[in-house]
Amino acid sequence: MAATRRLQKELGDIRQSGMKSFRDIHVDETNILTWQGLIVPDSPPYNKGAFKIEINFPAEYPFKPPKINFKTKIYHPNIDEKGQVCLPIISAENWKPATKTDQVIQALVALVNEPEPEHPLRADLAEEFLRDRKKFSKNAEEYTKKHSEKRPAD
Amino acid sequence: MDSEKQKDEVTALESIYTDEEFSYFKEGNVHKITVKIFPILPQNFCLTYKHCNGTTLEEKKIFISNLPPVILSIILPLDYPSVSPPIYTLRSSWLRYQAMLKLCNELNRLWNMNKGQEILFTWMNFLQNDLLEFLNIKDTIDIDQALAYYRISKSNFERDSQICTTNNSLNCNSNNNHNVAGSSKEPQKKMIRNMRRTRHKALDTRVICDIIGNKNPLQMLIDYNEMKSQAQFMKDLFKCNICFADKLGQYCTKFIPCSHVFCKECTANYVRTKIGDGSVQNILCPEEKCESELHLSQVKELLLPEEFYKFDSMLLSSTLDMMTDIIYCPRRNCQYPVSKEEDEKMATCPMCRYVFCIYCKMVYHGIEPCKMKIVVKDASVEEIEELKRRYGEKQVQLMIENSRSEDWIYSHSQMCPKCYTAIEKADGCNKMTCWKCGTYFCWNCLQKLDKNDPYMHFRNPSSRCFEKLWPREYEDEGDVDNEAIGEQDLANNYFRLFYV
Repeated sequence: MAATRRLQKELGDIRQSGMKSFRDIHVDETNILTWQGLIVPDSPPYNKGAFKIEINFPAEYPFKPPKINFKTKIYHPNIDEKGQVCLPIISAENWKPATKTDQVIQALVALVNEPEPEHPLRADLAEEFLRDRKKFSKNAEEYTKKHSEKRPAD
Repeated sequence: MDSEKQKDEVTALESIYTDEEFSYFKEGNVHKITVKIFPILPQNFCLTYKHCNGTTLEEKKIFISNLPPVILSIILPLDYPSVSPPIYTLRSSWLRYQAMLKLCNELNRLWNMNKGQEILFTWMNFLQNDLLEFLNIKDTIDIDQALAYYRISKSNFERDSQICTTNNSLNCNSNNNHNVAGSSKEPQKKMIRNMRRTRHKALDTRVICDIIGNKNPLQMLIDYNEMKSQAQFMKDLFKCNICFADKLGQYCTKFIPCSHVFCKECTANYVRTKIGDGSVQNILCPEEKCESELHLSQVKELLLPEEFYKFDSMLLSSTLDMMTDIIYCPRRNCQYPVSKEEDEKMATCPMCRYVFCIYCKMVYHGIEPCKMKIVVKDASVEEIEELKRRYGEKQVQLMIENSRSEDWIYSHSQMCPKCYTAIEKADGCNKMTCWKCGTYFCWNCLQKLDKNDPYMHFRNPSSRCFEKLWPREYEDEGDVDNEAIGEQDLANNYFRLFYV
C-alpha cells in the first residue's frame, strides 16, 4: 500500500529531525495509520503544559488528508470540546497530496501558539479572546495547569 | 605508417566519445568522420532578438538550455598526419559566418602548432570546451541578423513564387498543360539555388552556415531546445513528493509553469481522487500552495480512455452547471444540455426536439398550471396505481423519487450562489465552501464571500450577518446530535439540482 510506505518514511524523518514541539510519537506497529504524540507549545498561556494528539490517516492517504484530534482538553478558540481542530492545511478543499505530515504538525503548533479567532470552533472563547485578552489568558493558563500533560524535562 | 596512426586515432576517439558525438565510416582506405559538438551552455543562457511592437522595438529574451550541435565533417587524406592536415567543413545553424571563420582559423593554427601529429582529439577538445569562450559568447546569442535575413528571403521567396504561379497559370490556360506542379517547383528550386550560390560566393569553403532562408531560425532553435530538454527529462531521475520514490522522467508528469514533477502513477491517482470527489475543475499541482494547473492533454495521457471520458463529461457538466441558463433534456437516453430563455417555462431540446416544461419535465402543457408536484405528492395509493397504469410504472416511480429527493433537497440544502449546486450543511459555522466550485458563501444570506477574507462578512458591523458566524442552536446546545449526522451521511450528503 502506497500510504504505508510513505508514512514509514515520514515517521522516520520526523523522529530523526527531533522536533521539540512534537514528540513522544507512538505508533502501533500493526497500524501505521494512527499516530499519537505530544504537542509542546512554547507560547503563553499554553507553555505551561503539553497536549496529547492523535493523527488519523485515511487509507487513501496521501490523496485524502489526515484528521487530527486533541486527546487532552484545551482552552482554545480553534479546538472544540470534542478535541476537533479546524486546520485549513488539512481541510478537504485545501489538501495537497505533496503536503508532508511535518508541515501539518508545524501548522498545528503555530495555531496552538497563536489562536485564530476569525475562524473559531468555539465562538465563546473567540469572543473572550478578542474582548478581554487578560481574562482569556488567565482562564487558559488555569485550564492548562489543571488538565494538560506534564511537559518533557528537556 | 599513416594508415596505422589513423586507425589508432579513430579507435581511441571512438572509445572516448559517444556514438552521437563521434562517428565514421571508411570509403576504400579513406576515413570519413563526423564529429558533433554539443556546446555546454551556462545557466540562464538566452536567445535575444528585437521584436517590433507597433512603433517601438522591444528586446526579447528566450531562455534555452540546449543549442544544436556544431558539426565538423572530416576526411583524412592518406598522408595524414605525417604531411597533410585533415580536410574538413564546419557546419552550424546558429553561429555567424565570421565566428565560424574564426573557429576554422583556430583549427588551422592548432594543426600548424602540432604538424605531423594526430590532431583530432585536440580539435574536438577545443571545440567542446572552449568554443563559447573563444568566440566571447557569455550568456546570450543575438539572432537578429539571422531573423532579418529570414524575413527578407521569405518575402523575396513569396514575391517570386507569386510571379511563378501567375506565369504558370497563364501557361496552364494557354497550353492546357497538366504538369503544373512540376513546372512551378522548378523555378523555385532554381531561385533557392541562386540564393545559396550568391550567398556563399567568395566565401570560405570550410564554412557552411545552415541559416537558410526557408526556416525561421528562432523557431528552429526553440524547437530544438524543446526536443532536447524533453529527451533529457525522460532520462533524468526525479523524486516524487507523493510516494517518495525516485523515478525516471519518462514515468513522470511535469506541471507547467512551476516545473514540479510527480510520478505518473501518483498524478493519475490524484486525478482519480478528484473525479471521485466530483471536483474536476482546475486540477492544481499537488505541491502545497502551488497554483499550476494540470493541462487537459496531460489528464488524457494519464487516464485510461474510459476514465478520461468520465472526467471530460464531468468537466463539461460542471462547466454547464455554472451557466444559469442550462438545463438537461429529461429524456433518459438524451440528457443533452438545453439552454433556456429567461422567464420561460418551456424548453426545446436541440438534439431530440423534445419540448418540455422546465418544472415537471413533461411535455409542455401551455398555460395549464404545472400539476407535477401536487399530483405525485398528494396522491393516495390507489391514485398512484392509476397513474402507474396511465404513465407506466417506471415513469411514476421516477416522478415519486424525484419529488421526494427534491423535497429533501429543498428542506435540507441551499444552492451555491455561483454554480447552483445544492449544498447541505452537516456541521460547523456559516462560512460555507461549495464542494464543487470552491466558492465561499454565507449560509444565512447566500451571499458570495470574499475569497481572501471570507470571515469579514461576519466581522463587519455593517454586514447583515454581523456576529452570525455560528448558528443559534450551536451556541445553545454546544454538542451536535450524533444521530442526525448519521442520518445525513446515509442520505449521501450531496444532491445536484439541475433546475430551479
